[in-house]
Amino acid sequence: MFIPVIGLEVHAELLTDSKIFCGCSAEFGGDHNTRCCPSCAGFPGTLPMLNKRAVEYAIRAGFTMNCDINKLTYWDRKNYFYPDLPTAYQVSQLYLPLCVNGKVDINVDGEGSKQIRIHQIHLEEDAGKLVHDDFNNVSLADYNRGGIPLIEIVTEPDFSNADEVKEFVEKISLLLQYAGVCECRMEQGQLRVDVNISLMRQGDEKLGTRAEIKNLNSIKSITRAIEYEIKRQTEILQNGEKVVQETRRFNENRGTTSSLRSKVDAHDYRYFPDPDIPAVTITQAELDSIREQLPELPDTRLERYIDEYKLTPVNAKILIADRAISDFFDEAVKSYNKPKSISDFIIVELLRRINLGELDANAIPFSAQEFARLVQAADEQKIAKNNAKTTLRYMIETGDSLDKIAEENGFWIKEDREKLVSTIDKILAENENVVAEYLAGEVKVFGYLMGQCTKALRGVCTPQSIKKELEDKLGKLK
Amino acid sequence: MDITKLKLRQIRDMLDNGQISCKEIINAYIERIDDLDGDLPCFITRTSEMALEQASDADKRIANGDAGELTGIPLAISDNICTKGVKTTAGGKMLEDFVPPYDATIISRLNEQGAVLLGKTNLDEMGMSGSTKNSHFGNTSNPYNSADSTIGSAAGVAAGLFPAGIAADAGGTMTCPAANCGMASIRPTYGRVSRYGLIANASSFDQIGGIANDAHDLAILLGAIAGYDEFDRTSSTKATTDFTAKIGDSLKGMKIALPKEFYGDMVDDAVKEAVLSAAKQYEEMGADLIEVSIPSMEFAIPTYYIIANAEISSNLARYDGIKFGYRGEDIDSYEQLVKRSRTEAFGDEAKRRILLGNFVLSSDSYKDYFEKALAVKQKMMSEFTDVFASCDVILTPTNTVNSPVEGSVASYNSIYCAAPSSIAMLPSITTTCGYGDNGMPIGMSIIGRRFDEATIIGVADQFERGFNKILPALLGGR
Ligand SMILES: [Zn+2]
Repeated sequence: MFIPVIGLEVHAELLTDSKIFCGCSAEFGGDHNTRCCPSCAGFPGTLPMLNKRAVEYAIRAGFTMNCDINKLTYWDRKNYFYPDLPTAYQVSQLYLPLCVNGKVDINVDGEGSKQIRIHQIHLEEDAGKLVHDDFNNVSLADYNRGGIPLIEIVTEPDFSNADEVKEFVEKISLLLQYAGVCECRMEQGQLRVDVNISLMRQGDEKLGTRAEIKNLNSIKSITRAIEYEIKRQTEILQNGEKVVQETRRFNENRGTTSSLRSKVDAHDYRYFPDPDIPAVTITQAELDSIREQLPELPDTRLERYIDEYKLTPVNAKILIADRAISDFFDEAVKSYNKPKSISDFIIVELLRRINLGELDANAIPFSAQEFARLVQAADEQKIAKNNAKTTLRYMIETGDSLDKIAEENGFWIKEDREKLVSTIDKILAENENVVAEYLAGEVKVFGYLMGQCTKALRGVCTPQSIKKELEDKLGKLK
Repeated sequence: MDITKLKLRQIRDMLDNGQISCKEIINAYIERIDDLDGDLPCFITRTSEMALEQASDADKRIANGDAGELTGIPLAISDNICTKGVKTTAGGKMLEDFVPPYDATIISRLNEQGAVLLGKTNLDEMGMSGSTKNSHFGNTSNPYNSADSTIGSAAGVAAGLFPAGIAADAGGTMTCPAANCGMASIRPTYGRVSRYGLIANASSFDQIGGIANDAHDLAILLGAIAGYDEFDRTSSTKATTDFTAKIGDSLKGMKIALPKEFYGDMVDDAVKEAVLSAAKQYEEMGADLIEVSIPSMEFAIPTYYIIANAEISSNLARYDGIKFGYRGEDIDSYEQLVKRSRTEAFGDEAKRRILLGNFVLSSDSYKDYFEKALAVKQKMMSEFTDVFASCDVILTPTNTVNSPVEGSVASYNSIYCAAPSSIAMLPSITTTCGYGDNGMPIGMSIIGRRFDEATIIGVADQFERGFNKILPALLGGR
């Protein structure tokens, strides 16, 4: 009876080395107030120096979401008091944002493909953080995060349920990761989501009154908050009451949302163009060069894995879900062109170790080439399958090379023909009765003989060559 | 030694030819300030000890033959320009104890050249107006008329306490009081001098310039502080020229425009007469006078105050009692901290402007006020451009009246002649062209094309050569 209408504002911290308006490090963390200077602490007389790299990164993000880029852009001051905001205004973009009119396709299970329109992406600065010291009953301000460049991605109200929102947030996280502009670690606050949500009566044309839920910092919170809010607003409307336009906060412990401030108390941000930051003009040549440097995006890569490498859609999707893994896969395939073997070994072995927390996908201690050699060795049975898995484990744990591990543990299969022939001869001689049974037509005893041989010839020859030699010898005896 | 009327370049000569040591000259100025400053006073902070150390460094440099134009030259700096380790109050209670951790760019440049800093001069809180009526540290009186309240850097040069001062102008806050004190003052083209380290008043008008005895001294001063600064991205990358280049050039054929709006009802007859008689003298020197029009002058005053107050309201928001500046006592909430600190520390004028600024930026009035003011600014700039198509410089009065200004509205109206060139970001120089019956000097302003300071300096210098200056009453003038 009611259709939810949902729009998002997603804040993503950009991966630039330095902050947006000064030379301070933009890295996450650090001791309190060690990554700030007079400028990003808003001292009197300081002025902003726009970081060109931040503009470039925001444009990159815009390209991944099919936006138009405004070639003339400038920054506005959003004025409000808050102790974590050193100048009492946030430098943001209202009147002429960097990226506009984008679109992102999402796929929801059972629903098929849907296009989400991007209203704008603008470039702004992050605020600092408050640290509440309950013991001493004081609040302290930490400006390390203040001035880290942020993009705010504003969508049109194109979502109608939590699943679509989840898909979208995962999709843009992937796009931003591929573009190399944000790592999107939600637990570190690198990606934060505000949700606007209202309910529309079926058949109505006018949107309902919306509530905004601020600062959701995990996919789980986003889903739960939306589901709760739909339920809450439905109940209100069913009781014939009215939804109040307000800002709400999500309480993670209780899974509910509660009012933060109503529209009456809403800020008038008194936006106006920042007189300290000259407008930026971007040439077509600069845009072209930024676009050229853009890496292959996840959708294109997915298609390539399926069409060219003939991977199953499920496996292809698993691989592209992490750019580091996908890059690793591509590198490995370059030196050993068996995509399926590489993909299987990554999905079954490498990702398992990563998921167990034994390994960081961004810090694999061996090269993709080394990994490819291991997969190839297993494929060509130069190393037994089980030993290949063990080798991978040792490579992760010790950081030693494939050669060293295989050598020390006797994993290499040496293909010693002389020993193969003499060992098989010896086993056949020791098992005259079994051989006789075989020759009499009892072929299933072959398995027993084969077992004896592989056991004796482990590390000497591959099972293939053992089998072939055994068959040859038995054939000659017929 | 009588240092009363010493010009900057006379001191340069005396130091260079060994007539006097820098230490001696600095001691003479310190003594003179001891004697006379109490009656004015010009200084908020004196830095005599530091000055003597700088003087002995300067003496060494001069002895070693590596003296620059300003090595050993005593200067005073307006107290809204940050000096590392030296209290910088910006004329208000809010920053009464503020010691900047960094130097303004112009201070670094002066230090590199070995200039000597005698102290920090009085001004209106945050540079709001040019009368020191809004200074937390009391009024400075005009040596020509003790009933006239003026800024420290203007009174100090007039009284011979220092040969030149550096201050900032926004809509006449430096040039107007300088004219009333019978001094020459230049506000260069917006962007010519870095604003980094200048405590912001109205960012799109604020421009650092100088006050001295004549145009030639101003040219030397400007040469020392002008030029691009990466810390102020609104500063121009245009190469600085030799600002003395046109001194001594004949004015034959020079076209001097007199926009009729500057000679209407808004300006006192005595002022008009003095400026028009100067125009006549220019004509006698071979210049052609032409009458032009700047119709948007009608809106100059509201345009200036709308934009300035909007910027001020935002620039002053950072003074919340948290990171620097005055902090109210007995605080038990953030809101109370901000309210109490700002209520107790800001003066009436600051509060008035914060209210006006917030009003013009509020979402209800942005379009009716702020947007229109920006439109007038654009129009005024293009009208000036049109006028400069047919002339080389523009001649106008500096002040509207030749008497002390009383009351807020009168004070706002008094910048009628000084505001337009500031709004249009053009360079303007003022120099004395007469004296009123009350003994107060009358100034005229010469406005130039963008970045054409050399021409207006040359034109001002030509007039000064034939003009007889009268000493201020304080020094025994009439
Ligand atoms: Zn910083």
